[in-house]
Amino acid sequence: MKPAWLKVAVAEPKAVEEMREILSRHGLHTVCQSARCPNLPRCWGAGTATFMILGDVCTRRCRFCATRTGWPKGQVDDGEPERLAEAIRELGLSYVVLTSVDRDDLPDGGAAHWARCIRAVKEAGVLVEALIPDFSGDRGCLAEVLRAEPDVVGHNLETVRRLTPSVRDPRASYELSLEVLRAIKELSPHTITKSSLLLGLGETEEEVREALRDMRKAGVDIVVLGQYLRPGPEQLPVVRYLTPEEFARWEDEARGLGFRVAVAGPLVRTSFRAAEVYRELVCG
Amino acid sequence: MVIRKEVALADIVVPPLGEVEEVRVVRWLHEVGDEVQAGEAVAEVESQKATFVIEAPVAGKLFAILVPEGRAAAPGEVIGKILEREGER
Repeated sequence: MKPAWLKVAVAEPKAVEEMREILSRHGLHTVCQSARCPNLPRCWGAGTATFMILGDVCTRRCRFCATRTGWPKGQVDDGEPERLAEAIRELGLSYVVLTSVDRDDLPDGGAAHWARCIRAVKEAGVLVEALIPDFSGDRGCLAEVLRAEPDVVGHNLETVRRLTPSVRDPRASYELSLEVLRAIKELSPHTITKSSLLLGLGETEEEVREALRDMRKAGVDIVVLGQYLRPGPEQLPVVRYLTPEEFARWEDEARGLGFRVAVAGPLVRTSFRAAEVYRELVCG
Repeated sequence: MVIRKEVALADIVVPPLGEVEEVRVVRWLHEVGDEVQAGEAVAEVESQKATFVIEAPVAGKLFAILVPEGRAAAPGEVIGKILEREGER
């Protein structure tokens, strides 16, 4: 049995089916599906989703993630930016979170496609939060994405320093992710940055504190802490379920460290309630 | 003369849950014969990540439990039936 606080009410199935139909008609992928996210019924039922661009095959094999892995041989769907914008118009969204698989098979890691997608969505008059990969730390790629002027740029640290090698793909690293977050602020000081940690993978409280301090030093504005939930038997097991009270304490502590917004909770994810978090930050 | 009274059975269905292909029924919150209200929680199913609460689609009597606790079910599968209360249609 899962802890009582991991209980989710399911939404109107019709709304979920409508979302599926729209996504499939426009040939779009979502991280909601690939991560088997428990918030899917609630988010889709409310007519929102986190779009995953650049396909649904990731070139990296992180041990917490259920996204399909492979080597897409440089293939990019050039029609995706337009279809994405069309779907977003059809859904009537005013704030959208985009994320992508890692594309180490592309010379630019997919940066040009990222920029095209962000521009297409912004042209539809929609605010964009871009939850980007590390682009192997290439500042030129980051600059290209930033020139498309996403409203928020997220890059997830995912876990604490010690656990990174056993949790994330060997091509990712704790230092590289911090460098990406620092570089975003250097290249575009006014861009709001966001990062998140999954808790319950075996980290100690002191290690979480270190990660929060490192993110803050890298200029991160919004921090998100959520429970790691095992997507399936192939991924890492959950070491511990943190209680909602523990998450509330982390939220307070993160605010005390100077983050402009901190959101923590068992079912909180980087993109969960993203529009409200952004508005809280911008409108105060 | 035989008077036929029409009765309607409503399905309790595991709702669509994205890519989740299988859940386990962990708890029935009522027994067969219990009265339930529309929207009342009737069962809990569990994916690898979380527990989902399934609500009664209509008011009536829990008529049948088709998938008992501990057994697997797929999204879209009918796991129980409710005998609709007269006049609810």
